[in-house]
Amino acid sequence: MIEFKGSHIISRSRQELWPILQDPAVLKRCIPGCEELVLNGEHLYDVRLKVGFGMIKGSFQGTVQLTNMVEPERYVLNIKAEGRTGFAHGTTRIQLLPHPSPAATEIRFESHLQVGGMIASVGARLCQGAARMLAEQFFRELEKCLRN
Amino acid sequence: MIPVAFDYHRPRTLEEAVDILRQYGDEAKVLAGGHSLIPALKLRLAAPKVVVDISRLPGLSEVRRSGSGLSIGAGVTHHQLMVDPLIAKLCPLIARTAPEIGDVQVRNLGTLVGSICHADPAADWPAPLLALEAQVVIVGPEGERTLHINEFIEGMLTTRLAGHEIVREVVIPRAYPASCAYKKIRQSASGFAIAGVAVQLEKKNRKCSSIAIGVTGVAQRAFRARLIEKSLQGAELDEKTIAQAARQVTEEVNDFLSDLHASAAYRAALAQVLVQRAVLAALAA
Repeated sequence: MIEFKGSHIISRSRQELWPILQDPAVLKRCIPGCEELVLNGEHLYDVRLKVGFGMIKGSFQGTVQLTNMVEPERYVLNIKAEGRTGFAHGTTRIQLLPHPSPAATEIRFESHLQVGGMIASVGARLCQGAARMLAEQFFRELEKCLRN
Repeated sequence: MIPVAFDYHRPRTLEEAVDILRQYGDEAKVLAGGHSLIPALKLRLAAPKVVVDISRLPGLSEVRRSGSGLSIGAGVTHHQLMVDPLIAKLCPLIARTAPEIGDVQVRNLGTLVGSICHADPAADWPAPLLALEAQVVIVGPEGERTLHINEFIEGMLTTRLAGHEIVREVVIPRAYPASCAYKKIRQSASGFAIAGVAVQLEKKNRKCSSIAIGVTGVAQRAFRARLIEKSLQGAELDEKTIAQAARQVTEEVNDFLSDLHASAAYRAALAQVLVQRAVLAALAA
């Protein structure tokens, strides 16, 4: 089980940010290695990812589902993905908190991920670092998206 | 397991190797000692279309003098670094780190340059190379460029090396004295560092006139312990001063690794102890 949490300040209000975080086009751009993301039900997306660190690369297929949604405060992101080198599934609780400056939001996240298969048996010691780097990449891309 | 099929190239010159990489870019992977790449291939965690073997390229398997320092070619193995007389004379920290790496098989085939290109956060070499201000010389289709080791390694398993580039050598820009040490706690199966600390210092009378401390294995990437260095610079190095300075290791970075081998708190504690041991060993050397 990989557990990690973090927070990020985004220069948009919660009301503005809420729909952006569900926009398939934005998600596709921001999820690291996302090759395909298609809406396939209420708050349910089919995804295809190619994730890699250095020479270690893997292709994954799965779903992302948003549940327990309380606009514009919080929701839960459920991820299920599997590929030839292993699988990952887990939940991330996301909270949007008002930030002292009016046009900003603090996004807090807390992830619990289960990783299995080949990746887990040989790369367990790298999984937490990998998950953290992917989260950082997501927010970096989101900021880029919002600037444009 | 059996790797996914790939094309194997063994170019005769570095230019030819760069040319192959220019054609295939990220689809290609350079093979030197193979002690990171081959396991990843066999587990199918890596599946490059093309493998470019540079292990027998002429001139790359040498340690040479370079200015007042020395150069370590991309084909130089860990074992060579243990026994090379030039290394022992000009850069003893390298000679003292090499025997701590992996096991006999890894040391006989694995290379220093291969290790830094793979950029495993638990690899040993980044710690001494950071302390020695090493420079990484990269060749590609557009020519040559040099990066400081600190810029070269970006993070876990990632470097600034582009897909069409090769690291030709690592340059240690000057000679260093014998007052140095590398101390680590190894993971017993892999030999990787759960925590590793390299210290290079210089002393005048009883005072420390300069000190460089590289720490590996405990965070997403290796780092220089700048706060500890600052506290010890110019100080008289007794056990109490060193122990006090070493406590600051928890302030050096905020991403201590936590995995099945060691929690973040345990790694921070190990790093603190190893800093003390390495500084004391460097003083005694």
